[in-house]
Amino acid sequence: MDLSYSKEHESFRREVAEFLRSHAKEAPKGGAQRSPEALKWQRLLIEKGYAARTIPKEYGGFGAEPDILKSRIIAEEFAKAQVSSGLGGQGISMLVPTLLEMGSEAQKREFIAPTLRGELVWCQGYSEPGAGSDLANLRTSAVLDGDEWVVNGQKIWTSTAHLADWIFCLVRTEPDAPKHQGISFLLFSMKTPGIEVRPLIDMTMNRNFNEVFFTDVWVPKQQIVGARGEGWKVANSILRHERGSLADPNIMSSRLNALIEVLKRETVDGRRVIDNPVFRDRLMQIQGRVMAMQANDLRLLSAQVNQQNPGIAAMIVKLQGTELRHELEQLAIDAMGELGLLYGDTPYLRDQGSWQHQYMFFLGLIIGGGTSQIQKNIISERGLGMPREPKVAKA
Amino acid sequence: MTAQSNVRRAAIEFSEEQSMLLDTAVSFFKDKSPVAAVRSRLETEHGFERSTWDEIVALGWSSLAIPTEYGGSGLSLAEAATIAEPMGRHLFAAPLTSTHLFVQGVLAAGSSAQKNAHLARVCDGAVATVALFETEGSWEISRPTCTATSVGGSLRLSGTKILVTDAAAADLLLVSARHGNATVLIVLTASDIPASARRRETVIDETRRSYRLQLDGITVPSNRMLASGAGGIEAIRNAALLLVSAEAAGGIAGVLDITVDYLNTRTAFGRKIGSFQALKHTCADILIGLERSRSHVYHAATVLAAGEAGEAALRMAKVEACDSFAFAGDRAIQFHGGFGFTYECDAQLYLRRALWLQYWFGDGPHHRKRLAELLLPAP
Repeated sequence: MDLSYSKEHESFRREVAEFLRSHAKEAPKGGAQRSPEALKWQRLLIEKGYAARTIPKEYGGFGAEPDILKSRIIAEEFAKAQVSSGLGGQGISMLVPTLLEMGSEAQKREFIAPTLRGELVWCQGYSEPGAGSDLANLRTSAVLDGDEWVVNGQKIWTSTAHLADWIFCLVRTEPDAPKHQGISFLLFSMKTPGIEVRPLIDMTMNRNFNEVFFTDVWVPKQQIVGARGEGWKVANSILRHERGSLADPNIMSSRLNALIEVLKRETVDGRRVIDNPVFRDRLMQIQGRVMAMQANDLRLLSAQVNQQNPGIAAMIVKLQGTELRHELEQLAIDAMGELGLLYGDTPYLRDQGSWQHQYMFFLGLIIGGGTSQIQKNIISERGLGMPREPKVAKA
Repeated sequence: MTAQSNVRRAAIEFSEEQSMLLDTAVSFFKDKSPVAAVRSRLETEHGFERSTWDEIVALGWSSLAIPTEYGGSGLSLAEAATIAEPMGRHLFAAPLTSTHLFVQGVLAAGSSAQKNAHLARVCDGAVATVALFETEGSWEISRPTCTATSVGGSLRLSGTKILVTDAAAADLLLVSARHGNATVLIVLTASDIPASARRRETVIDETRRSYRLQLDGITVPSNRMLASGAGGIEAIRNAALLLVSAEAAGGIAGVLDITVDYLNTRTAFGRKIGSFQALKHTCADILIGLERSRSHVYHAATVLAAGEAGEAALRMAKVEACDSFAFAGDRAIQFHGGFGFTYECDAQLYLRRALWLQYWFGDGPHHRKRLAELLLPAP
């Protein structure tokens, strides 16, 4: 059951570690995605093949042959060194893979390279007030008028819409077709006249997601990905990419180590929390789940290497990963006792409130990209062949 | 050890040999262990048929983890786990796990002469088992209170063992005892044990055969004591944790099968009850528990087969697989409604096996306490 790293891979690991030792100080420390140092770091990572590794050179990537083990080694070493592994965001993690799979040659050439370099930031126009879990119910319309689409409607929960240069957006172009077959996938600039972005404040008090209103937004006809009415297919290929990226076991493992540090530092009745039997038991339950995620990831990796269908093991990643992370963050808050209730500017606040913030933030990720309840519908229907809920007759 | 290094293999997959073994095992247990056969074996003395055991021996499964120099197939416990999963799925009962545990004890603690003597008998088809548990109520097996006393060239045994699986069918038994200050393992043969020393225990898993063993009065030659005791007990425990986890993972798959079958057939309120989210979401939870368990089991098997320190991986696998199996068995009964509570409903067979596996060789709190000692800094 074992696929060991070869000598070549071990030497690659040393190469990555050496790069991190000599360049880590140039890496950005969190904060704004588009700071000059973040863009510079991103360019260095692409040049060395630690970001955009397998994306062809002609589209601005490094152009390496896909080698899943090498990609994994990079992820592991960057996580271990706790150094930024480059820019993320919906453009890089979702739109680029989708364009590579479904985009026209012209679209690949125009959009992928600046997206990878962080010069073109994207937001995702999917959810609407009446189309969340039932996404295919979306109503935002695009009507062809000469050589342009005219878009009207509203999107909601649109993360980073206020910062984005462009949007990839699901719109209804075939109003008479069955709901899944009437949707198309458009790309357009957020500077196009007729777009209004209004911020929404999330429960952590961040202003990161938004409502976006479209009033007669004119979009050139060729800025469609896939054919008319194929938008649902295109969108599903993106959701697949998103669900995997929300639960990286390497990040989970670093966070577990940080949790253990919290339990060592905090005390209850004058004794370290980590020596308290109840907390030890709870910690081991969480650590067991983290280990399951890691081992599950290895199974998926092996399936990928051998070009097998990993089946159900892939479907559980998003659901498990986001819920587990939420629980993990909570254990740290529990360990802080009274101080766990502090969230703002006070000298007693632990770790800048990051545990409280992440605890709440992961609720957003449990919901986003398909709620846990929708995931369970999918898992029971596709994984176990259980019947769908009957449709309610129209009143 | 840090959390980061707990799972550090490059990948987990089945080798071609394991895939073939799995295919054979899946059809074997499906064929030998339809639920009607499982129920008819509940009434029998040993819980399995000798002819089926002979087939298992002929397939080489009881001796597969014995090195070739002692006459076995020279495979690892990873292969034994591959067979244990479909075995659990079909509620099959036979002394296969008992025999593997005996083999691992002898391999780890026996001298070369002892391995030659005792393992050859397993290769010839002997049924074997281990006698480790006592009545003190913790699952700790490294400090037995049964004693072995040297008298001339013999060992005189004393004390009581419980939960000795397959003891009545066993040709060979490995018993733990205290000898002076040392923990030792001693090989007994069936003829060493008078019939009066062995009493059948009624245990929660009816497919299982378990016995109480009164050791007082049993005397065996000194050369039955294995050369080194403590390592043998650790090896038995490691093997048990892996094989129990794999059997439990199979059990989850089996009980989920019968539950989903029922939910996809039974109608209420004018629809298949499997379309109710209260039921299908729980089935999704069970399936997720199954996948978590498999990930743990495959990882633990990989680590153990590579000869690495696998204690943490094994204990984690045991807890996850058995707790998930018990949850699945419990929900299977509830989802069958009133019929679920009857003896006739097969769901109880799975739950009662799940409970056995959940406790045998230690339950969740027992293992998490030890895991915390292993993985966290000392107080």
